[in-house]
Amino acid sequence: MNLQGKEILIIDDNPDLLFIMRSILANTGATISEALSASEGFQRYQERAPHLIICDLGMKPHSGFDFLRLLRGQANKLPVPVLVLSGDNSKTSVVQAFSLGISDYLIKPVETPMLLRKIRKSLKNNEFSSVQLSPDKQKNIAIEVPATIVAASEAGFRVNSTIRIAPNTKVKLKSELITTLQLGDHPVRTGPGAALSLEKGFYQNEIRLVGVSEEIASRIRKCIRFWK
Amino acid sequence: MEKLDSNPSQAVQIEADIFELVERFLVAKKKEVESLREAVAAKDFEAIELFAHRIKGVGKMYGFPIVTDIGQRLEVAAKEKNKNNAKTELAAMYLYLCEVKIMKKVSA
Repeated sequence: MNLQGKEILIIDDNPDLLFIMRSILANTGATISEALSASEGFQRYQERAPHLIICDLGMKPHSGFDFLRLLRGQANKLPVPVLVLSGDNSKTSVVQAFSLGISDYLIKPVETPMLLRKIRKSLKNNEFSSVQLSPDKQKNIAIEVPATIVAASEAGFRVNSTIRIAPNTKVKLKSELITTLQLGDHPVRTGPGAALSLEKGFYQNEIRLVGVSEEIASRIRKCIRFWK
Repeated sequence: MEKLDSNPSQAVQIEADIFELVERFLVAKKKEVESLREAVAAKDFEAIELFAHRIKGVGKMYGFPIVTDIGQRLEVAAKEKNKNNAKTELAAMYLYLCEVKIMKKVSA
């Protein structure tokens, strides 16, 4: 089983279990971090942000349940999939662990193939975790999309692309032509009208140069004359 | 003493990549069992229960389901504070750990 790129945190107060788990998982390509107590486990979780946690329940002074409650905090689900691996087979513990949001519950001793199956399942069901950012935490980013300039004038360009850019949106163009025209830092925006829908999922966006000086206009005119 | 479930003279096959780890495990557990003789004499059932609980959880993973079985019975004896049963199961564990033979599994 290939778990390349996955980080798994194992929390158990039994060093023998940590040794054997590390050996079992060594061939999967996963990165393993370990903790011998619930509090150390929480610290490792904060340091490493693992993709999966495998956690024992019967630990002291803080139990696996304490760890799960701490991990969950005020949220309505656990921030990372947790696989419980415990010798406790009581119905009460199983129900309580699932009510705290664990992905699966395995009873010790566990066969290696079963352990690997459950790990894979937990990771598959939680392949990518996501969170809705509140307005104060939202970040502005730039998205670079390949496009083709199909027409040029002193006022701007017509650009074919797979995305339809909203009218009057600030954009940044990057190409050899833009560099030649020394327009790399020049402000550009989409025009006031909607992008034209073309065939095969392409759109034609009108890109307008904002505040064109005579020097820039003259440079563009020279290029246009050359292309003609 | 309860009869062992399988013949310890028959070698247990261990995956090559964990063979050394298993060897170390057997030596370490044998030492722990030896040190628990005093715990039995002192009726320190808490120490016996902790050992039993832990070895029960990993015996099978290291390739020894019998270790898990004995660990399970030892845990019960410790919980019940039954000195005779604890002594019996610890002896069974010691005997198994001393006699079990391991060999590297040959991959197909």
